[in-house]
Amino acid sequence: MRTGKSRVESVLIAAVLAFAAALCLLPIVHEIALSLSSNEAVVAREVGLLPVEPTLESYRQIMRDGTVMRALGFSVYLTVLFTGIAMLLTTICAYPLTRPELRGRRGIMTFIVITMYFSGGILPLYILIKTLGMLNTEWSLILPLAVSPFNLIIMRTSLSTLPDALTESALIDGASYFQILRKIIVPLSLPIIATLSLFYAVGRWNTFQDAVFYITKQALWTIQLKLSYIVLNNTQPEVFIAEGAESRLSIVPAALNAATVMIATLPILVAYPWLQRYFIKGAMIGSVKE
Amino acid sequence: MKRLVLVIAAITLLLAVGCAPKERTLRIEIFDRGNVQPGVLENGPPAQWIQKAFGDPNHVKIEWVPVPRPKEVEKLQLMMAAGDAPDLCFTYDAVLVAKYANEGGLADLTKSLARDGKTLSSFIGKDALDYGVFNGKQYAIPGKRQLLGISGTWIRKDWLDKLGLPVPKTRDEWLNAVRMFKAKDPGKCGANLMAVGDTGLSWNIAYSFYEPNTERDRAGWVGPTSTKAFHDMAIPGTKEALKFGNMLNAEGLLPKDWALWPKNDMLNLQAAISKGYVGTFTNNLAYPWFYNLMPAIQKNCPECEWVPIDPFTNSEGKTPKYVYSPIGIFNMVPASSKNADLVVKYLNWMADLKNMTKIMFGDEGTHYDLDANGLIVPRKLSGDQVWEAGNILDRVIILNGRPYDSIDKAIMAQTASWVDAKYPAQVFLDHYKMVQKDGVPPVRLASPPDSLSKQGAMLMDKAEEMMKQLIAAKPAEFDAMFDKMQKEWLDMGGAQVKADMLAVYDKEHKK
Repeated sequence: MRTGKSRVESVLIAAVLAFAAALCLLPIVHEIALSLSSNEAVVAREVGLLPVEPTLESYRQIMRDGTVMRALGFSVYLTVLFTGIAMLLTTICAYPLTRPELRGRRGIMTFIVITMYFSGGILPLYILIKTLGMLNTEWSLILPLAVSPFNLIIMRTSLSTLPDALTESALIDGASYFQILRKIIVPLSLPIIATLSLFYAVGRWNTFQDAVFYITKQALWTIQLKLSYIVLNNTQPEVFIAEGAESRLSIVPAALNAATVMIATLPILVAYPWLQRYFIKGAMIGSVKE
Repeated sequence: MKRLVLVIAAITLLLAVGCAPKERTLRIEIFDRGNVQPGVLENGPPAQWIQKAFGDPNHVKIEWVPVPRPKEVEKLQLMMAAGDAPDLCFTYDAVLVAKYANEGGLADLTKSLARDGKTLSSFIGKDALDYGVFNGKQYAIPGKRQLLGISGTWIRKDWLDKLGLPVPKTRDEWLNAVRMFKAKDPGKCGANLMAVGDTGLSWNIAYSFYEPNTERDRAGWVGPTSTKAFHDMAIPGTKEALKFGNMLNAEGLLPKDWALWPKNDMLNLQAAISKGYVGTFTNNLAYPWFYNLMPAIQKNCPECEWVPIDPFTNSEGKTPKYVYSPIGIFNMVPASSKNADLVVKYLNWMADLKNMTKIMFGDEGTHYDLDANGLIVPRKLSGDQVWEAGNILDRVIILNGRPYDSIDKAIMAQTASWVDAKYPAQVFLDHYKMVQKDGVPPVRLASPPDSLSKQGAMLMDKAEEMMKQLIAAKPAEFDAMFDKMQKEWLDMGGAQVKADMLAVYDKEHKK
């Protein structure tokens, strides 16, 4: 392949890619610089890609205000719990759909696919959650999102590439379907499980709309919800003060804003490179039919 | 005999128990702004005291329903539609209140208010209460707003002094000052100089060009809201106002790239003020303090001294400017609630200045002291001793302000934390009075016409665009361009909406 292209072409391609990468990277670098700069420098717009008057004051303030760390802790807990439950449900739903013994699986599949395109909207969902008594519990943030049809389809496609013979021979040996799933199918599907876990985890980490509607208890606040409050308090202080908020509680300086964004982004940013190899491998599964 | 006594005693006891009032649950909304520790809203000192002082004697169990402030409208609509709205809920969205009132979604509070709301009615006052009347019935109880001003002008005193100029008292003096700023550059800002730090033409200048008007005239104005006070292309005087803006721009007095600044610019003006490049600006109230710019100003420009001014005089010598209506939030009771009477009783109880103060600040001598001016100074306490009230106005929902008997005290209380050697309390007192002087509040239409809800936003966006173009236009082309654009704006719905609003006003004010 290499011989076909001239050096100039390669350099050009590298330059374009480097430019694109920089476009993605620079805002993050800028945000990091903001979070490490003094408030005065941030307000006067002196901060570019390097911190001005470097200080850790913003991070210190966040540590002092326990609610950010509490929300971060809850978000981590929620994401882990959610991912576990979502993977469990997705797997035990996907496997039967690959088995020819299950009658009507086409119908079931259509039923599932429909939910990808149509939803009842927020109101019926709210009433449902309320009727089930899940308002103000972590379950309102877990169960409604726990099975994503999209992920389910990927999972089913992936499982269906495993040879039928595995299940059949295990059945002959007297294994139950649950044993087969646990001891044969799951160990063989770790790459796709890792990939979908990442899909689920990132999705849960970034979603905040549901917490706005279902959660009023602060103990159940996700970091994204907390972040949205901080950003909003920062952009409309005059509304805030005019409505009587005490300024000592309200004004969150711009640098603090940036620091909170960093804290909310870091955990998932750190997790990405580790999981990336599964990610690519898993996303390719089922893309080519043999 | 003994047995008889026992039996009678038992019967009396049973009767007494049977007659004891049943405990009712009152659900009350509270804004959650995400800035207090967990539990404060539902169970902090004010919540506990309200339960003890109002709840227990009235056999009421109070349940707080926190609602996120940034999403209050969405969440309210959700709860109303799901039949899950608290007994006492509220919103700043006047259009939504009108919609619920006209659709039968709210409980009629007229009778309860007459029976149980004497203190409340006199506290809020008839003017403000009338904003909650729809079709002759009291469907909402608006809070009372203490400070109505919103748009204030500041100028660099140190620059004026350097140039030997007086603090401007008229539009001409102001214009002369900014021209001198530009010509002499007293701050040695060079290319960074921003004689006037406004994004185009400020509201206060625009309002000073409007021809004197009556309330009925203003009923036909498209827009005025606290974020869009100057968005009508056809108010008499608009042409002269924009022509003035065009002149400011042509003379290079406005910021170079003002037309490219984003809506609600949070970067450019703040940075320029922080570095001492700006000569004068008009913006929200005490802008440098609201946005916490003072530390940066003191560092970058220690000689900077800002002074509030009110120079934009109209043809009558007045300085009209957009101000809020005298109301705060709309309190209402959903039609599905069985506790409308309790809500009125509760608000009436709160309207007592003593109760209001206690909810906000706790007890004098324990949680706060009064200073020489009679202002509340919270004590520095720690742990359980703190009267942790969170955002105090969110609880005392009938007052948008501070619990004082005079406006001066309310202003001083609100601005106390800004006072220093350079900016004594008087500066803010002056400023707050200036922003309110000759104020022009929006005119209330209880049932705004459909055409307004359909086209209002579009018309205002369009007007904003046209105004930018007109201010940036070549002065020679201004007149023809304005006439053309004004006609276009009127034709695209402006004329119709204005006529409809005036018709509604006339209908609602027929005596």
